[in-house]
Amino acid sequence: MEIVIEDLNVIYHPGTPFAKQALTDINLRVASGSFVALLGATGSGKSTLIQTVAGLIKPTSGQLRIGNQVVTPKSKQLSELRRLVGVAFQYPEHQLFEETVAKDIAFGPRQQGLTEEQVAERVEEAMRWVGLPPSLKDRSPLALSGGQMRRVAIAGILAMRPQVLILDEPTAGLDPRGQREMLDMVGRLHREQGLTVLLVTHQMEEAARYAEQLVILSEGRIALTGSPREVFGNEQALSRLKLDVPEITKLIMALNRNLDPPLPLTLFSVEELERELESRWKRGDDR
Amino acid sequence: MTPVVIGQYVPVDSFLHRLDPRGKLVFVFAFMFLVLFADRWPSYLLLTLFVLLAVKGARIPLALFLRAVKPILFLIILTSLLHLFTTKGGGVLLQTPLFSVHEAGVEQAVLMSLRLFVLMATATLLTCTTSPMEITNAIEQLLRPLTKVRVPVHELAMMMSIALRFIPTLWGETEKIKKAQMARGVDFEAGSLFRRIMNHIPILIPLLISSFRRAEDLAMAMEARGYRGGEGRTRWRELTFARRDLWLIPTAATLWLALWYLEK
Ligand SMILES: Nc1ncnc2c1ncn2[C@@H]1O[C@H](COP(=O)(O)OP(=O)(O)O)[C@@H](O)[C@H]1O
Ligand SMILES: [Mg+2]
Repeated sequence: MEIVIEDLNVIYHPGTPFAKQALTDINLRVASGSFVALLGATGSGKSTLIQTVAGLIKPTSGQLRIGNQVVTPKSKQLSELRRLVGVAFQYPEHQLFEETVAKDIAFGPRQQGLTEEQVAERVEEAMRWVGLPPSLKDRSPLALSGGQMRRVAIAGILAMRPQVLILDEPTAGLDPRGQREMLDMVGRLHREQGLTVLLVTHQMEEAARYAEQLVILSEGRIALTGSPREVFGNEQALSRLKLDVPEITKLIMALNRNLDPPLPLTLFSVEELERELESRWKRGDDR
Repeated sequence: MTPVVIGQYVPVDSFLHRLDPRGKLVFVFAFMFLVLFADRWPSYLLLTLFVLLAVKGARIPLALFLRAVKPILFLIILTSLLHLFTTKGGGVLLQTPLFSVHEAGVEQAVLMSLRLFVLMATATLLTCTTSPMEITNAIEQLLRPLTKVRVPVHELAMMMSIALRFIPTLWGETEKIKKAQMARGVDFEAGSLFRRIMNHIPILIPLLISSFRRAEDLAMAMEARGYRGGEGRTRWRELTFARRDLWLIPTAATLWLALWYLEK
């Protein structure tokens, strides 16, 4: 589902001494079915932006369109929008509350007024999507491991069959293997379900590998946007924004100090780099 | 992140801020007693004047202070109306077939409004100029003699300060969970009263769970740092009486005497 944001401003507590402008003049277009990574320092407005897209915060000015739902500062009913957008906040496992995994996943679909059969079907399907074995159905969600609890929470969101999936730092606090599995899962959902994915992350590697579009926020404004190749190829902008570069890009930069002509900065996987080096070596122009 | 709470500590520097919290606490209790004891015009004039002077001395923005009194405005209006129409005595000021307003009614209405205002203002002034930590410390020390009769004063004070410390944290957490459940389709405003109460269960349970988790973590952290309760514990900031705190004694005495004279 296409997302179009026009001249969006969000101010917390407007008109009080505590007013705080969190987003300024945001213009953004996210194509239907694309995978977008949202990057930026703490306090740059990432969470505010995704909450606005999810219909949980109203814009102070400007507008937002998802599919054919339009949100302006005057919009009254946002529940229709919330139906289209599924959002997993940071540490989503903190929102689990039912006695069993199945009941917790069923909470969202029940709110939508589906029949018991449909709900059961949704639960089973969502557990499969996030890779939870059906045997966990009747366990207490609080007795699972951290990574499993997070999967239950995400399943609870997927069970509502959103068109847009938003994840706020889904890998925070997981071990490296858990992080990889979580991202592979998100990547798979994106490919197989055709979901439009908005991923907030601090890890450049994740962003470069999975996203088609990167959006970099700085102090409530969009500082840079483009494909990973465009963004990480733009060294000046990156150093101006004091952004971290993926490890592999750092390696290429280090190699380039001794290479003429330099390697392109747009290789994001070890395999790509290997192929490039191999072809150079075969051509024999590598000294 | 956190909302502005009525009577929230305002960290500025003033004479009232620097006073010893124990002295302030005792003084405030004595003063409130005076307010309840007074029931004549001149006494209230004196008490109101005193409170207004104190507010000025506390260097707290007046707007912030008036906001604290606003919530009881309704109460003030209600009690004054009640007194206006029900208290009889003195000359009749207004006579209609339905009700009459007597001189005594007007007087009582004004006095009760002033009394409520002064009480609220005093309490607000105390919490605006004294941090929650100082208040707990002061209560702990003032109640220390009760340990003799086995009241766990230190433990109570520790519980109070931990509770105060976690109010903003829990508030933030509530907001977060509320949004998460809204995203899962809960509409907190719709439905019958019963429905609306039931809708809060998905917030309350996660909140309880995380409070328990936090409590466990905190207990562990306190034990790891060698916390063993109040016995033999020293403080980083000792409360000390200074010369300026002695001023409270003549001030209180003068107010007592003046009031005793005015009420006589
Ligand atoms: N509920 C709120 N009330 C007031 N200010 C807020 C609130 N939430 C966030 N902010 C402020 O808005 C800015 C952006 O915050 P946020 O969107 O959480 O950034 P990020 O997710 O990138 O760390 C920060 O300066 C933050 O302090
Ligand atoms: Mg955030």
